[in-house]
Amino acid sequence: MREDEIIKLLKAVGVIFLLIFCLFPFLWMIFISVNKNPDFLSPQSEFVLTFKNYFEVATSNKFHLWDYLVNSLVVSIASAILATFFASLSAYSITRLRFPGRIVIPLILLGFSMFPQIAIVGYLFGMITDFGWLNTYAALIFPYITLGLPLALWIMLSYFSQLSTELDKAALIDGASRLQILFKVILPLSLPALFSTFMLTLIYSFNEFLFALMLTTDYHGRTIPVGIALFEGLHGQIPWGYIMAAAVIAVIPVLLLIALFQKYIIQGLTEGAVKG
Amino acid sequence: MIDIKIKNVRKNFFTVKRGKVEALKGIDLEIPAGKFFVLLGPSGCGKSTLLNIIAGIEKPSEGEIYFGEKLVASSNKKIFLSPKERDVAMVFQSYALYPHLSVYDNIAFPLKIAKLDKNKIDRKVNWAADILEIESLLGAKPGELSGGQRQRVALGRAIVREPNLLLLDEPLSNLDALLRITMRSELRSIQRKLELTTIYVTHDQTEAMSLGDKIAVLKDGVVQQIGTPEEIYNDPINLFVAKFIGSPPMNILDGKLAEKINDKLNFLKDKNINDVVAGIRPEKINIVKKDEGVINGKLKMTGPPGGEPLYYLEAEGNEILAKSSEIGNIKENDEVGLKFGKDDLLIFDREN
Repeated sequence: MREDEIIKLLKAVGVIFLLIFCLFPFLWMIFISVNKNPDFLSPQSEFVLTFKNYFEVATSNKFHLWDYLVNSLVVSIASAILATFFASLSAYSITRLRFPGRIVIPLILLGFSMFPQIAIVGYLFGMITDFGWLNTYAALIFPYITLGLPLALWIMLSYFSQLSTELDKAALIDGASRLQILFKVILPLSLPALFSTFMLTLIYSFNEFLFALMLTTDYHGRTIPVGIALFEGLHGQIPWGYIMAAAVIAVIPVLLLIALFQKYIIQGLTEGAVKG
Repeated sequence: MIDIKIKNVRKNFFTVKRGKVEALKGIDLEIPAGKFFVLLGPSGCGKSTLLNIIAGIEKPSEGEIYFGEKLVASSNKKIFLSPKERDVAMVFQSYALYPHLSVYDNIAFPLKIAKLDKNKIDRKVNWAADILEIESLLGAKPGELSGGQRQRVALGRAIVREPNLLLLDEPLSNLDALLRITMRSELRSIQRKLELTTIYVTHDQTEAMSLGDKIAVLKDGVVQQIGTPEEIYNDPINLFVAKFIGSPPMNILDGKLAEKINDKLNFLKDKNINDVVAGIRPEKINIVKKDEGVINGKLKMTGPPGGEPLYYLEAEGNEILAKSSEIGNIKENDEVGLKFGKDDLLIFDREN
């Protein structure tokens, strides 16, 4: 075998391994969700194909699957948009304006993001209760913005600092205000960074469990990870079939969003690369 | 058309590595209305900083700037007008075109910010495109353009507003040599046609000499000399200006002051300066037969083949360039004489 053939083979093996590694839990999830006897602790039980689990979680009122899904989408999209917006504002001022402490601020934020979530959940609960926000969207949106902001800020910072400041100067000379520069020049050029920041914060909020568990009480505010985890079966047993079916359904909107935005992210990246 | 006055402008930076840096050490300039004014100096001399301060992108640490009668920046009176209020336009070395906008939208950008109505914007963009001959490019994105075309678009964006003052920050240095020469003459004719007061920053003395109505030579944040290209070429005020201007560069000869010739040398003599250097332009030296010139020298090299001849000589430990020869056929290592007029010799204090 020639050297390049070996390299090709190794690459293929690597890709296949990675695919199996990443996709196996997902496939397992689908496998259980369509099994009539969804007891994955005893794999010797017979596999019988059924879509009953999907049908029941989707239609039965007691599961509130659609409520959870809508809650999740509203909360995560709102918090992702707001986190991305605030991150771009602060990244712009940190990279373009001179003010004391501009080097320290991103570091402090990074420090905050290392703070264990569990340590603040008690105080957060007290605060949200005082605000009267318990079991509302606001109870999750605001903490999620705080959680997503450090990551969002760092992505936007690194992207903005790559953009030439001569563009800012040119726009200043052309009479634009700082906000006009941000919205008319810098942000249109930062679409790839905006999309990836938006997607990452969105996924983070969509998956978040602890705050959602503590700060919501029923299907009016509860998000899908918590909702699914609290599915109850008859006689206290764990309803694996329903859980897996609901999880598969919950993945779909996020997959669609990623598929949609990935096109833009790749487009934006290549556009930036050939810009000479 | 507007004239610009710059009074005692200073700029200090504070950096972690170097501490306090004085980028501009008291600049006084008057830029006449409608003229092409060049700020010339080596990199790091503060010329771009000065341009940014005139534009209103940076604040002066000290000093005042007037646009006509209007005070636009003053450190004492805490006045600092934005570029918008000063109505300046600027062309950058990197062109700084907005990559996501078409050529049309790039040129229209300052007009849209100023909220002009659509018809007026359209008329003005077409007017600018017509002057710069880029009508056919209006739909293209900057990424699809060549360097020269981008340069024109950047210039279009600058002139479309018909600004008080046009600032050019090394606008030609990213172009290849041939294009640079054609753009240079075009730039000049556009400036004449629109009678725009223009400040042009460059480190290229050829550009400065061929473009400027007036030139200010800067070094280390200090103005060395202000004058027309002829004045600066023929009568450089100090050794730095003498060496910086002219291609090929001026010949520099070490020497001691032996006799007083004119006012300038008297001035040096009065200050008890004996150690001087003499400068002479290569084109003022004629190569003659040995012992017929002012000094004798040895030919080291000639060149380049084709084009104007250049003679590299050595005389009394100095390297000398000459441009003309009376002797038809001289070879390397020939002993020759160097002839030049006493008046062509410029004497400088070695220390400046």
